[in-house]
Amino acid sequence: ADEFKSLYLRLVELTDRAPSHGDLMECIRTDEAADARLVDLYRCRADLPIAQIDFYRIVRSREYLPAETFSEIAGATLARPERSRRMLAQNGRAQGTPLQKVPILLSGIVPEPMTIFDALDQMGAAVVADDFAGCGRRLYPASTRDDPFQRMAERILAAPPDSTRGSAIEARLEYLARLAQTSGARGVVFYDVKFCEPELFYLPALRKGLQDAGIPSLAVEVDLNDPLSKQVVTRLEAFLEMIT
Amino acid sequence: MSVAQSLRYYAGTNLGRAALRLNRWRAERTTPRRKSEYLAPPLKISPRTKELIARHYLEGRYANLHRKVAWVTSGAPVELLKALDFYVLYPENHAALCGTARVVEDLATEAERAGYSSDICSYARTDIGAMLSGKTPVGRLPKPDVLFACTNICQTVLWWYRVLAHHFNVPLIVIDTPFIYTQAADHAVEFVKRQLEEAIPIAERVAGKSLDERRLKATTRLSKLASELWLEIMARGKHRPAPISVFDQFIQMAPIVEMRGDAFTVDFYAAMLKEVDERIARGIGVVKEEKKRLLWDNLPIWYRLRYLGEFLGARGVAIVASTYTNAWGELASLIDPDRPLESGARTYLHPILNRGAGYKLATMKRMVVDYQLDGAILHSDRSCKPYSIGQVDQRDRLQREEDIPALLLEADHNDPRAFSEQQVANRLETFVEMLGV
Repeated sequence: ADEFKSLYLRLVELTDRAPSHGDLMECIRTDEAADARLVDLYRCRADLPIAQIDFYRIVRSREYLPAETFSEIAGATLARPERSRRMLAQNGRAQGTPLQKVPILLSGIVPEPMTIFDALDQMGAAVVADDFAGCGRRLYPASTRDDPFQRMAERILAAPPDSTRGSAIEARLEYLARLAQTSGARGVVFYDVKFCEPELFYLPALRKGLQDAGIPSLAVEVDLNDPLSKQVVTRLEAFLEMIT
Repeated sequence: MSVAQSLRYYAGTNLGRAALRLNRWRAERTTPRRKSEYLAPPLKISPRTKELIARHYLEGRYANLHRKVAWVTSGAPVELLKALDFYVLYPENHAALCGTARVVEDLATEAERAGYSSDICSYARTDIGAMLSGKTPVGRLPKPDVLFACTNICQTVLWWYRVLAHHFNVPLIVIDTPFIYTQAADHAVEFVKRQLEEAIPIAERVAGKSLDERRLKATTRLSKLASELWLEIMARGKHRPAPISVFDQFIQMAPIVEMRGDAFTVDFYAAMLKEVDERIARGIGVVKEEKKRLLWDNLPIWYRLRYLGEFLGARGVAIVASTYTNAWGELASLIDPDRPLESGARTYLHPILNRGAGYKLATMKRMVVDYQLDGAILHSDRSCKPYSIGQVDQRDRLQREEDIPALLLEADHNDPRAFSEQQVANRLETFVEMLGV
């Protein structure tokens, strides 16, 4: 909280603007509303009439869009008519239809390159949950604190276990195993970005722990700026065959 | 710990110490086997350095029999643990030792085989490989009873120590140091101090004893004295010809990193300073015909120290200043033995890697003037991103603003597989030509 306050004071100095306690709380509440929308999207993901790649485009827009704009987009997505949902489900591009698709869980920093979702669609796999630092680990619960800086700090600290915050391996493992169980995922794919130390350090222990819990996993390494390689696609296909 | 175990500890360490003393005594009376045409003979203190390091690891072999063991990061406020009588092991130093002993490839492969990516820090891979395989050039490493990680050198240690905590199933104490750009804010000092205070009962519980404040102050005083001496030794590099090089500093820095807070470390650096001053008095330069003087930025390339020293020495080039070795001395003035926790919090917030890139550039620019440097080599270290970030800009600004040539040399501090000797030789040769040697 002190670090946030120090940042606030520095920004006041740089911008010559000093938002009041009320101004800050209003902005925080707007952000919390956007986060609540993000949670709704995740909760309803199986029924949403959009392709997996579009679902993640919307989720990732939370990283850069203003909270109000994100809330509008998320609200519109959640309110789409049932008919189109069913139509899309029939042609197999919707999030739903877990009966026909192999449910999997993805973990990593960010889902890049995003063409993995198209590849998974073609392979008949559905991402039923994720543990991406930029997506599923950003489901911050709302805080009840009145101090704006403490409120912001508490939200971040209460988020799911995250390598970038240095969470314990045991906490991450328990979270992943529970997420796999509650979502019905049959396996976990670690979709890791090259050189990303926070994720790479945890990988061997997480995979071993999942294996001990009877949850198969696959680790693939990609580069943010490279296209999804055929080699990765082949490995994904082999993994899906194994868990089907 | 039983009486029998304690007896084994004392027997093993005392016999070993005697053997190491004998080895040192012999080495001090023997002419160095390898003589260089271009470089001064190794410092006479070198056999003592070797003895200190060997003794440290010898005690480590038997430590689990008699003492509590802490594994710590190189920038951790270790005085707290020393005052509680912990045997303290520095995995980073052990990894560097493996680097100089050229066994990293084997150990890193062990880690990679277990699933650790070849893209993570080579120190970490070396130590994880040693942990998983039990292989080490020092015989045996003691198992930790507690882990102590301070994030003031990088965030990597946080993930690395999570792996260690999971493997050894022991408590991990993390001291989180907020990044600072100029001077640490009061709340940041208070935040770190509070963490140190919270660490004490955990360390006491593991140690099975209470922290004696007088002992903590005494240990802190010894740390300060050793750091001051180390700073003075490095400052002697300002003389022409420079009596010691940065390659000497890389070798001689082991005690200031892993034996801070010990009386013998102070004695050691006092003796080293005396020898360096004797060299100055006799006009001995580390490079026999010193023509140009350079700066080194970033960690050493541990497995090629001799090669680089000889290569540059043969061309009359001495590397006389380094941001890396400087980091172990520049904070000496912040240490206040009478206020060990508060000054510890402030000191351990200020290492170069916990400060903005602008601070490092300012340090390098100051060194260019103070040490009358003709150029700079910036080691772009594949394994150390926090140290390497900003180097392209720093190189450009050194060239532009200090009017000196600067070279970015790509390698890895510990993994020889990321070192291309031919490429390095070509780049160094061209750089030396640019210097006008």
